[in-house]
Amino acid sequence: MTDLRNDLPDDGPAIELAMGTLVTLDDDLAEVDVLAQQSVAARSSTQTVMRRFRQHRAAMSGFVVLVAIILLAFSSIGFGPVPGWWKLDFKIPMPLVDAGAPTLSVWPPSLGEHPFGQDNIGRDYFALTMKGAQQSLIIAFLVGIVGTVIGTVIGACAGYFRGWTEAVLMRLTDVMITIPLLAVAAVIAVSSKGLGGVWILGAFLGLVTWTGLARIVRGEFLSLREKEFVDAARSVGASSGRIIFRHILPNTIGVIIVAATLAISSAILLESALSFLGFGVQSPDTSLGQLINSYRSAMTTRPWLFWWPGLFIIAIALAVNFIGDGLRDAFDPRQDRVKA
Amino acid sequence: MTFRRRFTAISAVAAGSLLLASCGSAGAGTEEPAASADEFADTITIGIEQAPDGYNANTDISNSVYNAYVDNLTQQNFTKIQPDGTIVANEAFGTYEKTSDDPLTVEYTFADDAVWSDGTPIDFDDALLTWAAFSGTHPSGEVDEAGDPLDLFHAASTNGWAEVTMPEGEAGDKTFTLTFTTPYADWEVLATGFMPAHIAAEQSGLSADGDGAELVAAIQGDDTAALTPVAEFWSAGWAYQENLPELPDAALIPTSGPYKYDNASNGTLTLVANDKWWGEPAKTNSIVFKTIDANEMVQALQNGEIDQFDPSNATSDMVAQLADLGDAATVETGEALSFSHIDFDSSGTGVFSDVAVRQAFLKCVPRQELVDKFAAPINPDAQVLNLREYLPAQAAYEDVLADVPTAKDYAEVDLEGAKALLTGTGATLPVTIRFNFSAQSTLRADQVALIKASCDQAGFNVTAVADPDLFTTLTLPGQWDAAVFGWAGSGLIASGQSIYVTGGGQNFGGYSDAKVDELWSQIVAVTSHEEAEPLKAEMEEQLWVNPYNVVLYANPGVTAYSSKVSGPGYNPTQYGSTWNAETWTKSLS
Amino acid sequence: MFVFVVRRAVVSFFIVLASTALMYVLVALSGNPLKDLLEYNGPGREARIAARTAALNLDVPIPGRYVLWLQEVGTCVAPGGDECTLGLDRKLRPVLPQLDVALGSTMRLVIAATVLALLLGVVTGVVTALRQYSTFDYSVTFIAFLCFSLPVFWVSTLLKQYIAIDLNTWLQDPQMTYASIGLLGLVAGLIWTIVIGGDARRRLVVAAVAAAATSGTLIVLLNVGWFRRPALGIAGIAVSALVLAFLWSALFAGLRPRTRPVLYASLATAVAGTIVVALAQPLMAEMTWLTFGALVLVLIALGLGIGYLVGGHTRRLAMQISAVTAVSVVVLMSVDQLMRAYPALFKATGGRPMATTGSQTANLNGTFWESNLDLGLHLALPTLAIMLISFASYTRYTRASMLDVMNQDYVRTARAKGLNERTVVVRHTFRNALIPLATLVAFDFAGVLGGAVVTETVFGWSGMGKLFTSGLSNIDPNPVMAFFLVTAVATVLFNMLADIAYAYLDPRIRLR
Repeated sequence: MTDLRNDLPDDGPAIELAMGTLVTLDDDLAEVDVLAQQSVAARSSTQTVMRRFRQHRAAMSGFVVLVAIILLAFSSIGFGPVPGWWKLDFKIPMPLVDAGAPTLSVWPPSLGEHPFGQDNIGRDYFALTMKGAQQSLIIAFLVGIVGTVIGTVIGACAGYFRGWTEAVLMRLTDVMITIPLLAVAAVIAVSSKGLGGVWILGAFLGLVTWTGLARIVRGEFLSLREKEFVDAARSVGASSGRIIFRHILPNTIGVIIVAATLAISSAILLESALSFLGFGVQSPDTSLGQLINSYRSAMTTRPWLFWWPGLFIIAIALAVNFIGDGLRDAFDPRQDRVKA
Repeated sequence: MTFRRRFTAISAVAAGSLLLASCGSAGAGTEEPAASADEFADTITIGIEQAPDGYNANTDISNSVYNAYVDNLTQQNFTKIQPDGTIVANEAFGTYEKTSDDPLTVEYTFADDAVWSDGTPIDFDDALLTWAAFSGTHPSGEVDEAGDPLDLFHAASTNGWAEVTMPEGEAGDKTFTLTFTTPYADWEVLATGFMPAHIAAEQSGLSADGDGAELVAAIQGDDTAALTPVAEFWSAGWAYQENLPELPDAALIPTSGPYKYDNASNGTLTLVANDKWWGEPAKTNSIVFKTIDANEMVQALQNGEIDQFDPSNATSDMVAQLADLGDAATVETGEALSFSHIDFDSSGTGVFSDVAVRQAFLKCVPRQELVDKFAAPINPDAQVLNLREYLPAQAAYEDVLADVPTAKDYAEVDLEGAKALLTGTGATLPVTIRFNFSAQSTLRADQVALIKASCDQAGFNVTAVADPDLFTTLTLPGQWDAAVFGWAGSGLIASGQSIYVTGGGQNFGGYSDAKVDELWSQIVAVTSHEEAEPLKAEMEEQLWVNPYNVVLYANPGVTAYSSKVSGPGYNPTQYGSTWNAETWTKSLS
Repeated sequence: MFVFVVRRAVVSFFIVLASTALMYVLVALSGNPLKDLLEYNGPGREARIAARTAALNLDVPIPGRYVLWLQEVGTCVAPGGDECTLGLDRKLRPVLPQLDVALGSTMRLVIAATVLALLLGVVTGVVTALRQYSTFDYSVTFIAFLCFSLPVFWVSTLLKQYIAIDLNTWLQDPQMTYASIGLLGLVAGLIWTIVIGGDARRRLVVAAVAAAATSGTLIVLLNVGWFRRPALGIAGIAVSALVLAFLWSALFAGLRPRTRPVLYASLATAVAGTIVVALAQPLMAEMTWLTFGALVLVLIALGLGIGYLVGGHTRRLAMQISAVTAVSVVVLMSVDQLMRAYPALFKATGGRPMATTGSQTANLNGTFWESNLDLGLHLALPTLAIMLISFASYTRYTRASMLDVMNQDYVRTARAKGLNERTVVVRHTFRNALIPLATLVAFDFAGVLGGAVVTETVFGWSGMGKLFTSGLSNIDPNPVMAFFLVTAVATVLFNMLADIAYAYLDPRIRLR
């Protein structure tokens, strides 16, 4: 379950994958001259990245699909106080129509009363799936954000300060790496169950999924801190914080964005696996994984209860993975042939 | 073969296959000859959800319900409980007779040819060890957290046996007598759980010679030093490892039933016919118990990996899936000996301390809809439950219900009536209810959602609380208002007492009613079901008048088996479907 | 080297100590271990609570409990210590024997999945790298991303329904309509076209040949009842062995005149090996692991001997490739024997050999081959489910790593000086591209164990995953800690091995 792409070792010859040396996104900084040395078009790397990303067909399709799913999930049933356009509430049981079979019809195109069918007690399954998708997306993005922030800070401090800071932080990372992610997540989820809600679960899961990124960021910092532009900043008396966040970090943004994307896709799967094992989101709260787990035994008898949430999980994870792939190619300066 | 002829042959084959291609198929007609219908398989495999956890199922650490499934075939008792709950004497094992009512005295005689599967006769030392283990009369000198003395033997229960004085007799006797100091309502099913005393003795440094004379002397002489190792072995020596990776040494686990233990690995237990069994021989040579996750049972049955299983929590999808197997599987449904209900916290200053609020809640719970959506899809005969001590499948249910008129007041959902009652209490509407249910259960979550949809219209505001640790919360009055869960019936007369009386161990909501308390004190002293019936009817009526809880329905139960197997049937008692498995057969075709 | 190992061992010890402490606290805080007893309403409640409190030291505060647990672990490490149990579970039984059994079955699963995923992943990765931006590359990329995006339990449920149950039903009466045979042929043709590629004409030829070969083979196999009584036969072994011998020589030595002896040696090994296998047929029925091992050694020795004699100036290479050929013969022989064991297993399982649950058929009492076939068929689906993610990541890594190396100057130099493509790819690129994979496999291990937790639940295996999930949901700390102890030790150990392997493979790295 661990996303291996994040768990790269930090010693030995760097496994750079296709990430390669990175360029900064922030071209109004003092180190523009340094960038020029790196034989990368210095005019506007943000634009370059954007252009490359737009040309990456798979990534763009992933992006469109993800945005569509997010819009669908949040606009259909609404979010918080904001009402949605879908007429039925995911909480309200209704009389079962045709044993809860879906009324969605491709030709002639029509949604019908319950396009995705109804669950055990007659709740509208489209509304439930949308609610589940909302919850899963919230968890995934929370995990992505929390994990990325922690991983970046720890990696940056370890890479920049070296010495005992690095030793402590990296041994901490090593400790976390000895534990299978799914297992520690399960324990965390069980421990935090009483606290309730997907927000807590997402935040707690973020606390254990930062290790891979910390190692990558540290590796980047180790090499960047020796560069001339850092020496230059230091010589004009910039503080460590300023050097880390204003000067070095922008140069590692590509790696971080790619890793964060992949963290989000694995968080979707992590949440579903946890809910499957009974350690994740639980009724009356719902999530895509929880829905699949509840209706796994209905796979042959009421297949729609099993397939809809499953298809949404796969669609979200696949879209995010392709976006990550596109970003990686887009940030890669050696990438001279962007196709697909 | 010349080239030309070969070419012709190939063309012919090609043309032939083209012809076939339009409608034919390859590979047909390679079937093996089918076995004839009157041949029986050597093995029947039964799916269980949890591995058995001990040879001795009566210790305080053994709690796999599936121990009983195995024991049905390996351990004999003086009685056999039928699927309808009636008690039938098991003549093969021995006979018993009540010789006196005051004091209650029962005389038991083991069958002359009754032997353990290692050839040792079943006699007095086995009976005496059983009494010693269950009577709680051998204090170890240690105390538990509450300061109560602990016994040498870690028996699951001393209920009933604690009232029995030490049986008199000598090693080798086939007869023993139990004398009760106080009347015990369920005396007829008490004499169970016989363990081989000769094994316990040998494993504890005592000699098994002379029909276990040394052990008999130790128990009769209350020799704590000699009994300590015996008790240790009795309590822990027969336990299996988690998930049953292997069986203990075969010599330690002789059986007294039609089957004996053969081997075990990875949660799969194999029994084979007991060659020393003196009764009607088993029909199938070998019974295999296979541990499988509850969700995977149907697929395993479909794939022929198991021949029979009883789901502990049957769902409508499972029943539908089984129905999809068509003729390949037989499904029987019925009522389990357990029921679902909503408990109130009627103690202290809780919302439900007011009788009117409880009555209002009773009126708004859509009981018929709950039955229709959760019980009827599994058991078509399911109906709304109106009693607690009797379930609809029991013969006495209708008779008792006739004497409980108040139940009819709540037969229909009455939202207006509920609202009126609530308004009458002077409370500000809506009245907020914390409704707890087990977080692991989707079923309960769905039920609470349904109840909320109805009761919110009557002036309640139901807040669903998914509780990861429901039964801990229940012990903390004030932390919850209502909770939905199940109670298992035992078929015993007096087991419900602690649920309903003031201060009872399972009276989580702190309910207190003087009339109910008084009736229970009479019920526990009767010695037959007939005597208990009118008392219980009166008690049930009072539980409606001063509402204790909302009873919903008797949980539906299912048993499913391959159509190749004949013999199994639905059995709701705690003994499970294997109660007659020695008579099952499986045809080969 | 020695200093490195000692240093790493000390650091690893403290890492394991810290990680177990962390997990112990988390597990202890995850719930009330007396939960089930509190809801138990029968008699003997107090006695049960007291017994469990004593066994799990629940009256001791959590840090103290951890120290007591460490003592239990310590007795397992210290020679001559007390009885080693790794603590008791909630039913007062020692954890160690449970762990023993669980470890065995999980390792079978994890190792099978890792080895298969590694083999398939590396091969696919290399091919995609060599044919970057081809249809094949895009297809594999898509499949890899799909694998990354599939919930394991979701796939497992589908596998059980559609592979195990439906395949079993088909195997009961193996027949196919000619329409579906034709369809399968077309699919095979399409796949091979994508894999082999080339211009339009070549694609067409490949598709036609593959489709015809697939459909033809299927028709023959179905008509001779092969799916009822499968076997390779000595002839099948011989032909396959010769093909493999040729393949290995072509791949690792090339077919130039200079390396001709290598080809001869491996072909000779294939022939001689097949003869040995044919002569050893009487042994097969009574095969044990001992005789099997002996047979393997004999064949490898045979290969080495032939390589030594025939190899000439390429003796070393010839010996290596002949040994590989000999191993291939062993694999072919095993496949043949396992196939021959199939009818017996088919009968023993009531005509449903593919299992959906458990790790072996109870009371099979079959021959060596029958029980191994049974184990294999039980392994097949869970292995497939766990493999998916590892396969995807190995494919992506190998591809990225190959592309990385192919852009290096020394590869360009190698091409420039006129080395043929095979030498460039196999000698210069492939070997160097494999180096980073050593680390990846080590890291993957913890991930695969995590995947096993889910897969074991779906497929009803009682292994480490079961130990963990049932321990965690019952709030039974010691089995859960046993799981963490194993994963923690395994991870630090594998990391150390990976670093050593790294230094061995890459002379630029020095262990300090």
